[in-house]
Amino acid sequence: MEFSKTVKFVSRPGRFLIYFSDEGSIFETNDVGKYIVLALKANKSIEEIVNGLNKETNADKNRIKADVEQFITLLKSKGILK
Amino acid sequence: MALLLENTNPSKILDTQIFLLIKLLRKMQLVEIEYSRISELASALLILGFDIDDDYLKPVLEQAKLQVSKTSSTAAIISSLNLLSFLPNQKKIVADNINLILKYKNKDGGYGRFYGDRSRIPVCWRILECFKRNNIEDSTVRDFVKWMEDEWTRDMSRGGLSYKCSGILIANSYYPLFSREFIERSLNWLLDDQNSDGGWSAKKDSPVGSVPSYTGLALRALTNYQNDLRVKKAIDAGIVWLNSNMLNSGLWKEHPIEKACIEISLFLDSYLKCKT
Repeated sequence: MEFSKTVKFVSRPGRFLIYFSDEGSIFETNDVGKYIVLALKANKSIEEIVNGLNKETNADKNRIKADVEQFITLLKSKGILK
Repeated sequence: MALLLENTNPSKILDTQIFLLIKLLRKMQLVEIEYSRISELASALLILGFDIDDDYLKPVLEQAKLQVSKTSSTAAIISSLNLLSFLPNQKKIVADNINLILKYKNKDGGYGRFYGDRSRIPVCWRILECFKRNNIEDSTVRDFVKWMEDEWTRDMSRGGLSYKCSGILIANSYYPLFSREFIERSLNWLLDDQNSDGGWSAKKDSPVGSVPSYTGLALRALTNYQNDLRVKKAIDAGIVWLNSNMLNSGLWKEHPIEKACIEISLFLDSYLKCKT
């Protein structure tokens, strides 16, 4: 998975912003969203992301996987992720 | 006035400014605007939290490595150093170029725009900012601070200019080596210099009117002194001015186009960090 070339990331105190130049849109995500975006940028697989979040949050793996997949679907639907 | 302030959202203005700065960086690269402008913009974006691995930044960072040591322009060296200080494994090149800047020091203790130029406050405070970012000790900058204090004292008696006063107050936030009485006088001067509309010109009541970049710079200078109620009121009025003078595009009526975006973004960044 690859981010669109016109997607830019800005990390502010307590905020993570995704700037999408094509659309002229700014999206804001929480810490989990930031974790997923940074992991995708580092070419990590969904499995690696799920394991990483499981370590960080102790939440159920199936629940995490569903959330990660839903977030990825959302990023794709916006054109942020190819 | 109070109602207007409630309707402003500094965080949203900053989000827009960052977006514009990213777009301007790309446009300036495509039309090959001079490096000093691009590097200043890129440096501001990094301060604001822009992704250091971004493709737009790569050529600027590469150029920064080449640019330092090849110019006698203190401004160009500073902006390159500001960029390089964000990168790992650049300690040697940064240290070498700080030593180069130190060699450019004039006999009076200050620095000019280039080697041999007379000392200037707007150059000096930006050097102090760069030094602070690179953990340069107080002892290295004492004579430098002394020159700034003497020069601004002379300037104030001749009328003074807002961007110089702002630079002094910002410099004091990096190196609080200025005398307390001097800083109080400077703070009073900047507060008195605010136009009735809430913005700042180079000088109060200038026929040009309030200027976005001078307003951003003055507001940024004031963010460090918010325990003073007069400062808080001045900042509130300044934010109202910003809100009512931003164009629909988010840009400002000022050339070069990125200048106001940079100063206003850096103010909003300091202001929001102080609030959290």
